[in-house]
Amino acid sequence: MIRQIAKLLKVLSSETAPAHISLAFCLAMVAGFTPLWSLHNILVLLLVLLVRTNLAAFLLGLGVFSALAFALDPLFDLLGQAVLGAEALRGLWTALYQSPWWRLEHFNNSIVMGSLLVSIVLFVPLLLLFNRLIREYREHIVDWVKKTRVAEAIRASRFWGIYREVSGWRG
Amino acid sequence: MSEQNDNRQSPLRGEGTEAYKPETAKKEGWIRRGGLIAFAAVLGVVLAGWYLFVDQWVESRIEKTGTAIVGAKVELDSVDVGLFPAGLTLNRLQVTDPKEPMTNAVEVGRIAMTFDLLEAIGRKWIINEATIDRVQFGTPRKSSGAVPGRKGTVFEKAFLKEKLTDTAEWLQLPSAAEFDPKRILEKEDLETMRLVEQVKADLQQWERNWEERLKALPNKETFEQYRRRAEKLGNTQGPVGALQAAGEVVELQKQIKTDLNKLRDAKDSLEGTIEEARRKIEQAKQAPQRDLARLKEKYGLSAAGITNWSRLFLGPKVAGWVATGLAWRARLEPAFEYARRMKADKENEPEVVKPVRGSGVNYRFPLKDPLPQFLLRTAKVGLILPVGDITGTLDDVTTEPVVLGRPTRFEFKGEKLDRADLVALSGSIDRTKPEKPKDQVRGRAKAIVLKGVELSGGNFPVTLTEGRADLDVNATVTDGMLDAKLLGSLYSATLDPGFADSENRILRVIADTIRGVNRFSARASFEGSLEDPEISVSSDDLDALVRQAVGRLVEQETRQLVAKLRGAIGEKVDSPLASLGNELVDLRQIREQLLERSNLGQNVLKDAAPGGTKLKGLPF
Repeated sequence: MIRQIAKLLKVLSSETAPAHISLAFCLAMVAGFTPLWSLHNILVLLLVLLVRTNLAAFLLGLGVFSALAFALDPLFDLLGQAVLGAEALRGLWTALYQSPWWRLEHFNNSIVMGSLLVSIVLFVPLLLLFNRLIREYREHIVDWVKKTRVAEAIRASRFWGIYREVSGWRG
Repeated sequence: MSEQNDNRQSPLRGEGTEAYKPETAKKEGWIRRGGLIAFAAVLGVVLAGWYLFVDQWVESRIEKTGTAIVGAKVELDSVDVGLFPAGLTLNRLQVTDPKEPMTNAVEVGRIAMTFDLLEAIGRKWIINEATIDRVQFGTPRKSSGAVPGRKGTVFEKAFLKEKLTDTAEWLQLPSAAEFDPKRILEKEDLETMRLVEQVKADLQQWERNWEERLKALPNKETFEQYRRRAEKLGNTQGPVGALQAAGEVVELQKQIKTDLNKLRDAKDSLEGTIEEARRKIEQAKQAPQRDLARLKEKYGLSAAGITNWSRLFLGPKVAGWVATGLAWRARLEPAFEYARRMKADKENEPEVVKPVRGSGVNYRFPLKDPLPQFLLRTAKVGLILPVGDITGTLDDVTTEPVVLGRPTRFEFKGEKLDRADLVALSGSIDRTKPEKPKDQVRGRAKAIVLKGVELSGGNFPVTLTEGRADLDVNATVTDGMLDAKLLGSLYSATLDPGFADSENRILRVIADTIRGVNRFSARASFEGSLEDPEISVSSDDLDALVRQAVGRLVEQETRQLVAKLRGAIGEKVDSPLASLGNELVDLRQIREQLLERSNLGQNVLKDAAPGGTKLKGLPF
């Protein structure tokens, strides 16, 4: 846990562009919320590797969002069932179901559909929000944090050692 | 950016006290040059892992699933999964016979197939073409294929076992030479004896009842009292006394008449009882005839047995063939049960399939061109049979015939074989309408060489030492109803009856007849429900020969048996029957007593009547 927090702080304080970190978090949200072995996650992996996203942020986000998904699965299930069972959308789903690729995507599974929809809807808002938060953190919070007694204590603790250990990492 | 060039270190990174100035992001492009290579590397690692382990994984899955279905070990020597083109090769598939763990029910040398990769990733196995080579049945195993704790699936239908048992019991019928009437009567419950005991008990009970009743009826003493009263009244003196006595005489007559009526009613009732007793005794006297007829039917050699001799020694073999056929059908049944449970994707409403908890629910939408979960479009099959190697095709093998809309078909043929001129088998398994399944099979064989075939066993073993046969089989199972017809002709045959040395003269004659037969034809039919079909096996040629040879002998034997039986029954029942007459004597004696009392009463009444009793003091 301490190692993960240290990584997060390292990533946030690194020279990496905030957009790269935010995008990594958002892609991690897609991969984390939806079942890992879904077809669309191959595309997510391709994007993570091809586009200059922060890999540490992605891995960190993947862990956090996967954990969150366990709690949110009932919600995804309800949403997925509502969408897949909607009369107005039946034509669309039936058309998609004709393609083996789409069947391979398991879009007809309520949790896949629900989690994917939530991820897509939240993608852009969270991207902007994360961008903003990272900038705010770098401009205001880092200085404040440094001056707190807690930070002083941290520097004297094991956490500091770990932080130093990971500080050589680059996003 | 390296640490050495970083002049704006984070306060948490260094020890400096200089305030941290947030950096602007380094102007880097959005595309990572090595990204594609990394992606390819990741995919490569996944594919390499898959390629390294998929063979073992598929082998393990097939063995585990097969073993679970069959109830005995299903084993593969090796499996080879290919991707380009997508294919699967199974080497030496062994399916253990659950009933005989040291024998393989089926062994296949090699199965090679190509399948649709895209559908396979989507967990649908669409095999476009397959080659199933070196299929053998009943091969020996090196080690037991039994699964601990599993008894295996019993596929044979119970009815055939029962039918075969019936035949076996028929074979065990005692022969004429072994017939001992006294021993039979010891274990048989004769109707005659039962009736004799019953009539005896009835007669004794009636006798006791009548003796009790007799005590309550007017007797000699009663009538003597009446006589004394009449005489007393006759001695009455004077006109007044005489008039008084006349009234009493009338009253006395009335009482005597009442008693006489009681005696008459009793006598009439007793006559009825005696008549009933006579009827029962007569019935008991007829019983020995009925006993004789029943025992003759049960122990004698009936004409039916002789006319259907062919069933006796061909029946078990033919029933065994049908049992084998139905057992194979039953082996395939679990696969088709799946079809019965499935709903067609053609339905308008999307179907909701609930998987395990926490995995959501899967919606199935109607497909324009639905494909089943498993489909083997066509397979070339090579069979190694005792008669020789034959080849054939299997088409449209699927677990969901409702979805496919076509039945599974098969066709095998072999000509100029080692031990037959022709063997052909074709048919279909139609489960496209689960509510009305229909299976058909047609088989033909010409000049099959048969050697050392045991046609029947038990007390009447017949072995076909050698011969050739033509066979024609047509069988249909429609919705659980079997309709199978077999026609066969055997020629150039040598039959060896194992009962040629029997002490039974009839069997010896039959054995001689069979030994002289070198050709005959036979037909069999199985009709009705799979659980209990009507079985008919007959051979006009063979039955006529046997009937001709042993018909007269059987009649003679039967006559002798009847005479012996009659004597033995008579010896046993004559004495008890005769004793019934004695029991009747007691009832007759009671009747005599009633008559005697009645006559006495009549005499007293006569004496007490006007003119009989003279009243003194009266002019009349």
